[in-house]
Amino acid sequence: MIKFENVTFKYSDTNFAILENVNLTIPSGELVLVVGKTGSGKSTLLGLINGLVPNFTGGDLTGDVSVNGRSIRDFPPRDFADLVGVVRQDPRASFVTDLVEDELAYGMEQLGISPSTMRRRVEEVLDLLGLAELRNRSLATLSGGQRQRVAIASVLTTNPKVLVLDEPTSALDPSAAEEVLAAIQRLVHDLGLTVVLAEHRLERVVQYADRVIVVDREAEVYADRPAQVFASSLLAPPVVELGRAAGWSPLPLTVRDARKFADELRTRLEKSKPRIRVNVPTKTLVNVENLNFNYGNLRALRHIDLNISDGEIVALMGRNGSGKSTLLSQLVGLLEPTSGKISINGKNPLTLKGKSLIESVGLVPQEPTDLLIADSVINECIASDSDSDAVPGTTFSIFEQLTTDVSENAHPRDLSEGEKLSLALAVVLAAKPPLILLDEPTRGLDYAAKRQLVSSLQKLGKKNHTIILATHDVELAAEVATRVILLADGEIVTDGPVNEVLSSSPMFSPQVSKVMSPANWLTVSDVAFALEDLR
Amino acid sequence: MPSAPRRWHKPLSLTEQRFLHSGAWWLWAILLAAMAAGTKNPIFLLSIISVVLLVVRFRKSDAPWSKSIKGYLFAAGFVIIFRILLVIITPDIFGDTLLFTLPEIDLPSFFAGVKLGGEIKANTVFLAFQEGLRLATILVCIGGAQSLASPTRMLKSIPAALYEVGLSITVALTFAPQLAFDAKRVRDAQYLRGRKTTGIPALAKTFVPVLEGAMERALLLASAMDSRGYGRRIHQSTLKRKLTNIFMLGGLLGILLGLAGLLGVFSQSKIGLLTMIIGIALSFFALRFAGQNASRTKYRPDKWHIPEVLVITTALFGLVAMRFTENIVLNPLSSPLSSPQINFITLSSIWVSVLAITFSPKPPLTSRPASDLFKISNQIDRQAA
Repeated sequence: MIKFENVTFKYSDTNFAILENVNLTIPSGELVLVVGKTGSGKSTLLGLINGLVPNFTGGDLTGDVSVNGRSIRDFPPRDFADLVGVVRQDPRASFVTDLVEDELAYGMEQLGISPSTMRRRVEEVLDLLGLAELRNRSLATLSGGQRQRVAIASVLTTNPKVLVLDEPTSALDPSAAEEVLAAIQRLVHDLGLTVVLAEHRLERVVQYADRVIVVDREAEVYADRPAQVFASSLLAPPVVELGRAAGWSPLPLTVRDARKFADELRTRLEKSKPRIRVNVPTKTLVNVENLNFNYGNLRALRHIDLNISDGEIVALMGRNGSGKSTLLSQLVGLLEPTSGKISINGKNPLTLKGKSLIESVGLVPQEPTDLLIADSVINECIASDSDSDAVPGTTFSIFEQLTTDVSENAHPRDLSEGEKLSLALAVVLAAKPPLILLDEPTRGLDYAAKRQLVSSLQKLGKKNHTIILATHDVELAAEVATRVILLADGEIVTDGPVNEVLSSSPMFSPQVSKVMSPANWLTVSDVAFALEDLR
Repeated sequence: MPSAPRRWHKPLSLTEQRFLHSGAWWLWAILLAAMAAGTKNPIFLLSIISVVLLVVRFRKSDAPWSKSIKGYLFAAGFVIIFRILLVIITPDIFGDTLLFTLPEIDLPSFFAGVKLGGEIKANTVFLAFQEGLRLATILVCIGGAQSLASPTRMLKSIPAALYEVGLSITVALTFAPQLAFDAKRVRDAQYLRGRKTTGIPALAKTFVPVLEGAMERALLLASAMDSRGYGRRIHQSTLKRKLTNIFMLGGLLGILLGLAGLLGVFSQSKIGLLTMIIGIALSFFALRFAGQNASRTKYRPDKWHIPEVLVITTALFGLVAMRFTENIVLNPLSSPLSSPQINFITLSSIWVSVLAITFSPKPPLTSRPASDLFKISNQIDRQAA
């Protein structure tokens, strides 16, 4: 179905080829997963399928890519509209109209499909993706999962043979991600669609993949069965790493496969206990009393009572729109509570401004680049030093500790996602706030960058920084958090030590916990540590 | 090809939930505005405002554009107050009913004829109120149409040749709230870095990132539209495109010259009328000519049904009745000051327009009061407010 022949591609502003001599054949009807570190060329590979790369990005292409015999050398992307459907990471950026039904029809209108056929296909696709109830809805009011499904539906109406998805679940909570992936799987099964999907959160998608393409700048791009790929790949979901640590063979790829081995591992670890990560509360840093917040008629937060002490790492979890980001905004004084009291170190965040604010609390927003203002890493660091009256060089030295070799003169925009996050975190840390808030920090991070973040956060926790993270990433919470707070509909549903909360929640339990239950293990590193002890 | 199943285009019943044709709402509102333009009687004007507000109350949808009426109400109030303040500051001399006297301010001689302060007469204030109210009523009518008719659905009814223009308006309409959202994000980030968020330097710093974001999004949207087939089936010959452009330009020029002629720029008004007619004909021809080539299709365009016709008819009664109403009733005298008279037939004819509520279908819901809603739309609303 899709053929890459001797493809070498180089962006015009770089001096190396991002893809070199790629030869791939993707047969029709398969769900293919593209994995690789950030910046390895995954998006480039996806963009080549319908010619958006190089048509919209520029760059030098040698070799040929063809879909169903149609070559991107001969046709512009618009002539692939009936063959390839492309869905981006953030579907909002590609919506053209304002209502669900109109959005579904847009592609067909461009192709000049007759009104009666359009009508029929819209109905079919609405049913296929379970969107019938949303047909009249305004696109702006959809939830993340619904938005992603509408984006998929809107490219399906032209009857493409290939669906290309770039990180479809990275912004979604676990249940919304499942909703989207289930829809994709149905398309592969029922329509025989060929799906090419890039995703960092392998734990969510590996089970659906027929084949995996590994993109790596240092090595040849290749495709293979998932079992073969993950036997050796550095990028692997937790369940594979658990299998490696426990020495299972064949390596399990899914939680279900792994459970067959779990009995044996549980008996081995009978005498061991996971490392305890709960801090003994010392001094209360954050105090929230009966906090309520309304957006218009909508009660976004209700009756929130919280006490967080020094050195705690708290994961705020819950569905999209459950009030996580709103709570973070309140803690940093961006929003004024409708009623209730917040104090950080005895001070009301609303009364803090300027330097006194950044010395008490720092927030790394969902899009870390929002925080960055300068045109180079070094200028950013200088600006940050002067904002926080720190000794010159403070921010840069923090940044160096958080990341590995980055050119001082690089533009923050050109950094990888992990490096952007590190730079934003360094800017926040320069003022030495005791409380650090992170909103969805692992969005777009690969496993290596995530590991780096986990160790940075753990170090900060040891230095008695208090950290609150709003996150959908169950694995991140399992790795770093000492305490988990589940929010639903603006209320605190559960608040407790990480082991208790995560192992008992069906939606928010990490893979290791799903495999090992009823035993209370959360992470691969815990299991590996205990196994090491036994030897 | 089998014939298109027409049944889909017909509403199952007159009361079925759907959007009334945007053109119908606009026509209805324009007719009401025309009524307002023909009278200064506050009772008639207030009736028209009440009719519009009532219909908006019961027939607006829950989409963001439906809230525009609020802005128009503010503007209307401002117009009335401003108009009255204007006559208080620079009062007219005429009139016989003294309200109060303001200290008079002497102005330099080159302001001859302008007077600041002095005797304020009830007559002038009343006249100003009437005129302000008339303008305010027209504003409310336009606001009503904007709240009742979806701008994007309106675009579905425009000729195929204007597709690009319509598309850019749709895109702009979705872009504007996102810009507001971006601006807020950037301001928040400045606040988080302990920087000033007010004042001109801070504003300037917001400007660049917001513009950058908009550019980036524009590029993303362009590539997304391309990969969805935008611009795919326009295989127009260069000659034909050039001809269309010439017709279009010529047509517009003709209309402009015609307008100038009708306004009396030329000595002979017939020339104006003639160029106007030629201009309109040329533009019409250009639209048809270009439209032939667009091989796009339209998905469920709005159609005219009985409710559309009924809604427009309701607004005709008032207009006709006003034709037969004495001028003294329509435009009450302000000098000597007299209380406005009422003609009950005219008044009730105006109120017939409120029947648009019963004749038009309820609009379908486009949102729901769920928690995921607040994130985007409410933040934008708060921004707008």
